[in-house]
Amino acid sequence: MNEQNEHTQPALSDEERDVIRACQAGDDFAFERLYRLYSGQVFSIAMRLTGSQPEAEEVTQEVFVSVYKNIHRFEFQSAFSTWLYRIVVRRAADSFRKVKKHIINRISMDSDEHAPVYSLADKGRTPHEALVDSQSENTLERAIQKLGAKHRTIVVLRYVQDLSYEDIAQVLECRIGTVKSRLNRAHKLLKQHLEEMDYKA
Amino acid sequence: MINIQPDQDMEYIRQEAARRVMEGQASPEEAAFVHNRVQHSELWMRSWRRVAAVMDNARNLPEFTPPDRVWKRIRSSIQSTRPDRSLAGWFQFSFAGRRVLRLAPAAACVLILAGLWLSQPGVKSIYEIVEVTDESRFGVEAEAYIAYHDLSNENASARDGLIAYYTYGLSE
Repeated sequence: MNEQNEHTQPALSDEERDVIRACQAGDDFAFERLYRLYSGQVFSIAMRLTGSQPEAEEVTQEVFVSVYKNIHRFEFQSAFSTWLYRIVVRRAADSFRKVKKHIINRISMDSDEHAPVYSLADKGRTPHEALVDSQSENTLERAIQKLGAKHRTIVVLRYVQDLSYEDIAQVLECRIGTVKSRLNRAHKLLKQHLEEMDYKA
Repeated sequence: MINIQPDQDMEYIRQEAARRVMEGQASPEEAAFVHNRVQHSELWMRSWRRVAAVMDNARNLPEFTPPDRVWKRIRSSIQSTRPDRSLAGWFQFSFAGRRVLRLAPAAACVLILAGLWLSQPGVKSIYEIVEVTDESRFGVEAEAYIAYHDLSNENASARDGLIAYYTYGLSE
């Protein structure tokens, strides 16, 4: 049995549906609205998958140009985010391959050059809590970066983007069983990296 | 030589069991067992909290905002691809995910409107209506030709053909 067919009905808000339909009709203002709605998610995934801001910017640009050219192919059969994430993951993988040709691992774990900068005053935390959380988040980010591309992708989609197994299977175009086994392995590796970094949760 | 570390191995087993429960991968029996252990054991509770904290932290990782230059680059990039849309794309639009010809419904509308307009009784033709008689059919030259030629033995169509032939100087 093909487990991929067991996906749930796509949940799109009225605004998203209207914006997508307007984009399909060639409305450039709607396309800008679409960008404003999804650019944060796309850029965040790209940042975590590529591990560098210039690469993430390039991936984000390529993703939205691709969306602009191909949005008429979106048939509302799946969630728009699933359709979009599939493009992001593909572009990020292409980018990763390109970079890998020149440098095996350009992200220095000891350097903070590419480490995300967090606002300490966000999420309604006290400065001390924010600092502790920020350190944990930075450690977690670095542990995610240490994973290989395949495991990093699945960790980002599952734990950061909070996608269901069904959605991940659609994004990665694989079976749910594959998602689960890959996630188990990724979780084990993530735990090892966190222990090495003396993660304080 | 295998390095066995019982505490660490047990910690791994506890965390893996907790993760399977949180992920919904555990069977009901397995989940009940883990919940029971977590309620009654400090070690299990600590392992549960560690896994939960990692997952919560991951879900709460901040979202990044792309710099403005990304949108500028996208906009200039799509502007260079726009001719494809403005010309070929104008004739087509997507309906329920399928490309539909825009020209066909537009042409049908024009034809229907033209038909309705012409069928109105008040509409006059731009052409002058002239009643055709033997005299007016070919004009003065034809009358002259008829006057000097006996065409009484010719049938109607042959007679008209001869008059036209000579009247318009085709014989030359």
